[in-house]
Amino acid sequence: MSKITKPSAERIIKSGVISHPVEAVPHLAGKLIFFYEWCKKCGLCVAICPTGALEENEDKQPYMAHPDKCTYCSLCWRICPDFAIVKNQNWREGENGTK
Amino acid sequence: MGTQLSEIHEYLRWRKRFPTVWCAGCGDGTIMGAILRAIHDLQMPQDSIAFISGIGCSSRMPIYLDFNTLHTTHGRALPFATGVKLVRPDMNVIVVSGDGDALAIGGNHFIHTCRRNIDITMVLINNSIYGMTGGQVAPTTPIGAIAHTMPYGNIDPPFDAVELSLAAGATFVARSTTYNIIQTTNYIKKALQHKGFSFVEIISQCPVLYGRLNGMPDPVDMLLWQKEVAVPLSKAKKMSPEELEGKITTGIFRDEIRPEYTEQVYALSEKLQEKSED
Amino acid sequence: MALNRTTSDGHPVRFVQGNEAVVLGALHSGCRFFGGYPITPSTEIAEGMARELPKVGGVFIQMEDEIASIASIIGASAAGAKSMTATSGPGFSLMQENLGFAYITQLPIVIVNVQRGGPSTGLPTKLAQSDTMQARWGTHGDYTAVVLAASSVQESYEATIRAFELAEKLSTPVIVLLDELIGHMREKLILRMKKDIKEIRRPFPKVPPEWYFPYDIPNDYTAHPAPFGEGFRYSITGLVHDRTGFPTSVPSEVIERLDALREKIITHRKEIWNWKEYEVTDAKYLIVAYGSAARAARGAVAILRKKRIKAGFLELKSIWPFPDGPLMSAAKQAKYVFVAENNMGQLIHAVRENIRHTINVIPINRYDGHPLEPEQIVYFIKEEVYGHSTV
Repeated sequence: MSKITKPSAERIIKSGVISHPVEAVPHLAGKLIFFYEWCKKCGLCVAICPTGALEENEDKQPYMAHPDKCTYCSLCWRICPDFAIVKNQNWREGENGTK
Repeated sequence: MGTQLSEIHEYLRWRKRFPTVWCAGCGDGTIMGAILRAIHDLQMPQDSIAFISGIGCSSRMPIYLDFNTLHTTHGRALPFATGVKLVRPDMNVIVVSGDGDALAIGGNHFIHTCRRNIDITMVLINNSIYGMTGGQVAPTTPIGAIAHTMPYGNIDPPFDAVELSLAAGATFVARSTTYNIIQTTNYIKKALQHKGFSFVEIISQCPVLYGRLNGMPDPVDMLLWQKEVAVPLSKAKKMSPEELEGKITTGIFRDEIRPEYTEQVYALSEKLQEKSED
Repeated sequence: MALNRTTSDGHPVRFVQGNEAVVLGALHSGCRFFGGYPITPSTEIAEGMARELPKVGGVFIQMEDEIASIASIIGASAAGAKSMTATSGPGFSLMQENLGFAYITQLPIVIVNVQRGGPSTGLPTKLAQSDTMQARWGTHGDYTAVVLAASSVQESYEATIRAFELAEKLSTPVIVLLDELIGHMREKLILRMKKDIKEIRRPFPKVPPEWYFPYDIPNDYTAHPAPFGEGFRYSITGLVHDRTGFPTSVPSEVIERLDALREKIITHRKEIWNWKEYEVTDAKYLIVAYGSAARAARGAVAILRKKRIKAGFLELKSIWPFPDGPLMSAAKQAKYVFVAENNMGQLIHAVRENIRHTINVIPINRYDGHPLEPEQIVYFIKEEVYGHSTV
């Protein structure tokens, strides 16, 4: 019987089960990572963002248009029904957003 | 740096295909996230969780989650959960159910499980329609709303699930919406910690069926509708019935302690066993 | 429990109803969960469980209906407990959908159906055997049922113990058929000694969670879902599923699953089969029956043998999967096979289907709520033997 080993986080992502995250493009680097292969383009994150930091690109995918406007309020990655938005490493906890 | 995963990816069954089967903008995924974040915040061990559902869109949730999961028959999640909890009172038993599953076919089990006050946390995802079967009227569909089995406007007066659970004796009752996602997460956390039957109703959106049939085809429209109709309990108390027309009160309606069912059952058997020894 | 005497070799003896014997059988099998709903004529089982289970650290719960009752015992089984319910016709009908859930999820449960007159409310305080086919085909879809039967108070005790053994061993629901007569009458019951009750429990997985396939298909086809809370976090679902327990609609996996569910029972049919032969070796007239009809059949054979008519009787103590082997061997010499039933003819279909050599299979039916009597069976057989009943 084959051993079902649970792969590391990276392998999970690379194996396409959780698709490849958008490579953090420098100017977008910072607060969020988007998994576009999980994103169903429902638009909820952009709509709920209180400061308009997120916008939709021409493929209707969300991206951090105005990083400075982002107040780490966490609404975008909480509302996302498909867990396609993830806090990046340098997400400053609790600045005035929640953990 | 390792690729960052959110704290809830840990709970997903990585062998399942993601993204989930739910339609774009459906509230089920948001609520699944809220439940997982509540479990994460409470540091509940995955082995201690029994995650049980019935049949319907929202009831597909347990299959994605790395817990002891039971995807049962339509409307019957609560009695299955009662059996699990009575045998393993040490486990955290969570039931997820849609408004059709819990209040229509499952209505009888719902009121009796509330009555017993057994330590189970029930999350009712109320999208006011039967989603899985393609948009039929539900016991929560508002009067006049369109559904595929009410093509001329719904004439069935809907239930208020919160009133129903209060009357039936649930000891923790709350309602929130997917729009107030932080409040929803906190209510679920409180419900998980509550000793006794805790019921959290979450007004959720079904853009593809309920939304499209009732003038809100875009998920964002439905989210804004929730924002507009939701009224906190504290404010609602000061509003007249006319003002409350079409509104949905959110908040914690009851949070009290009553004897918990499994404790009663095991206290009785301990007493009887002591008696038979001496 | 009335007279607490013991036999000469120390076995406890009781004088109890069939329903009470079921309770004792369940307790001695290690049953620690009962979820039920009152219904004549099985209520004494629920009452007995309500009295006895708390004393042994077990759980009794009266649920809001029979659908919830069987749901609760399946949940209890998923959590690792030996669990059972008891009902009668109307409740048995309500339980069918969740029974199907237990078949596909392979969770062991025991359901005792104390049959009463049907259909519908029927004859609540009268006996019948008219749920025989429902016990086999009651729920929807293709599946293979395991159904045992009892024709005495002692048998009610033994059949319940056998039911739990088979349920745990094959990880399947097992149905035990009684009827109102067996359930309510009192007879002597000799209990097993504590020391010789070896409790059979479903095997615990021998592999760590990472290697664990809950619905693997070994060569004896028995899958054993691990109890909840032990680190084997897998998916139990009523959807057709693959070996990991995740839903599938891939044709090959669907066939594999449905075949496995059938083979699991069919390959173990010889362990499930249970019967008793009465003077069959030279029997020209063979009676086949179960439950209370079996009691009359034994009497009929005695009467007929006195009249030097070569009658014999095959008592079925297990009905499904149908014991075709024992039937064929018992009917070797038979010219006629009479199927005596307290219904309008149900078991007879299985007998006709499984009698492979040409033989007359004749029904003897009584369905007025009263038990068949030996003289009635004798009358039918003499009709065949002499063409009419002279004496």
